[in-house]
Amino acid sequence: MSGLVDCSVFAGPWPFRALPNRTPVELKAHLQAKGVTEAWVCATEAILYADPMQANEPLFDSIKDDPFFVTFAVLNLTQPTWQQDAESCVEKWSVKGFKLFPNYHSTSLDSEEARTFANWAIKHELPVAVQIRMEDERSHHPLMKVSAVSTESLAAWANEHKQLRILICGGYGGDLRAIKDIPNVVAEISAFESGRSLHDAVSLLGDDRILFASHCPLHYFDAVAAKLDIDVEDVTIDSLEKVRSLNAIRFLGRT
Amino acid sequence: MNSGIIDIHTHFNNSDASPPEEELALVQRLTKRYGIEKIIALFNLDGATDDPSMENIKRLNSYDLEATRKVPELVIGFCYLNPSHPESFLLEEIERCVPKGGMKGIKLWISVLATDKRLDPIMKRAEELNVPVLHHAWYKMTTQGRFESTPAQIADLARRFPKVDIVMAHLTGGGARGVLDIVDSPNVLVDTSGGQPESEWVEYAVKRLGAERVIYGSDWPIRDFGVQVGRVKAARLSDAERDLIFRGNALRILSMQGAAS
Repeated sequence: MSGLVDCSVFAGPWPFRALPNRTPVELKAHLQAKGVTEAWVCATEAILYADPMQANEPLFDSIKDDPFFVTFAVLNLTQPTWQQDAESCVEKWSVKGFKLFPNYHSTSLDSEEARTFANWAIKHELPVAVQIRMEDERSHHPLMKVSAVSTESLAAWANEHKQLRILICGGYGGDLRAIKDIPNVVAEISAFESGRSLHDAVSLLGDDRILFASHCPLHYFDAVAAKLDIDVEDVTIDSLEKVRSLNAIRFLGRT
Repeated sequence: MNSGIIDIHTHFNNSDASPPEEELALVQRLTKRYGIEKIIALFNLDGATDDPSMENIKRLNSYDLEATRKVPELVIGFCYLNPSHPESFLLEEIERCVPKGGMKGIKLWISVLATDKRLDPIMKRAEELNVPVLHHAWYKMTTQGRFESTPAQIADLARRFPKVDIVMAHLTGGGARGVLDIVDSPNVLVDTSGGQPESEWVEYAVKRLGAERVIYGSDWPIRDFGVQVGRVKAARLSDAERDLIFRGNALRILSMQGAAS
């Protein structure tokens, strides 16, 4: 079995509940102990800070030159400096992609700034992750209710920018169905759950478009990773290899 | 752990009149894979509504009775009821399913609130039969169902019937407030199901309630056995605490052999 690439983890505190393994050092030790060979990380605080760079920068400084972490910079596209921040992240920290939280940043993917960003990312050949949700909407803090990202707007955005590589994070079954016919969009399985999670996810999108992510430390790693612990009646060994690492490697353009 | 896991919260999901072989074969294969020895079938999700008719209740319970007959080594049934039905029907259905049918508990969902006095004859009969009642609960920040009970309402029910073991469903759905609501209701256990496998909730519930009041449940097939077992396996607990959650507490409230004294 090949290595295990975790395509979506978070470093930093989350204001709504206590999290274990939230510093980069703790997170790395935890994930490595579970067999993860590479983790795509972003700064948790960047989701809510007025300026995400205040969280991006210290995270990237702390894990600079650590090949275990693949860095994704959080951008708030409503800010006038997003483009220079993005360029800085590439030049100074060699980030491998960007992560958007449109609904936490009061914007949408059918906005002009999202269109401009997509063209910028295509020009720089960089992929983007879109976080559909951070938590189950039913359990949000009563003063902090954030809707899931509209997969209709995501689908329209992805169709408009077919050269843009898009990873959706935190998607449910309906979200995966919404991107079924959009080949430049892949999905991770941290929030997708059914009675046969991986079998059903692969049935929906095919084994080339499903990636593994734990959403750690917000989720129990072992719980999400159990989706990979399945019988061959559910998913073939070849498909499992793709989900564990091969699709992730391809998504980053490393093949 | 001495033996297999007992899953206090599962459903079937099939429109057939009785459980087809494929569905039973699937659940047998998946439970074996994840070390689950027994599942408690609460009601068939197909056709489930918030206000099921008497006919529908009988159909859903008959489905589970058939499952317990076909796979007795795996499936245990709970009698599903709508408390808004006439008391005579409620008691007849309990009689048909529990003493006569071999079911080991009662399931209540979202037909009426847990504070509704129409639950009284059900709870009294549960007490007489010494069987637990598993009740849905959630604190929803989206839209709480009209008759969807909160953990605070489960605590009210527990105070009215302190001799009945009540399993409050959905630890993650109730969150911290849900756990705190039942701290002073020693006859309430919380099951570990509900929403995403958010970290720390199992440890939190054990810290606040004690491991003897936390019980493993998956909510399969809405959820994945592996994921839900994984929540408890991942939690930082002692082996003794994990054994209680996975098995010991279920044996105790179901009055099954092997229960810790």
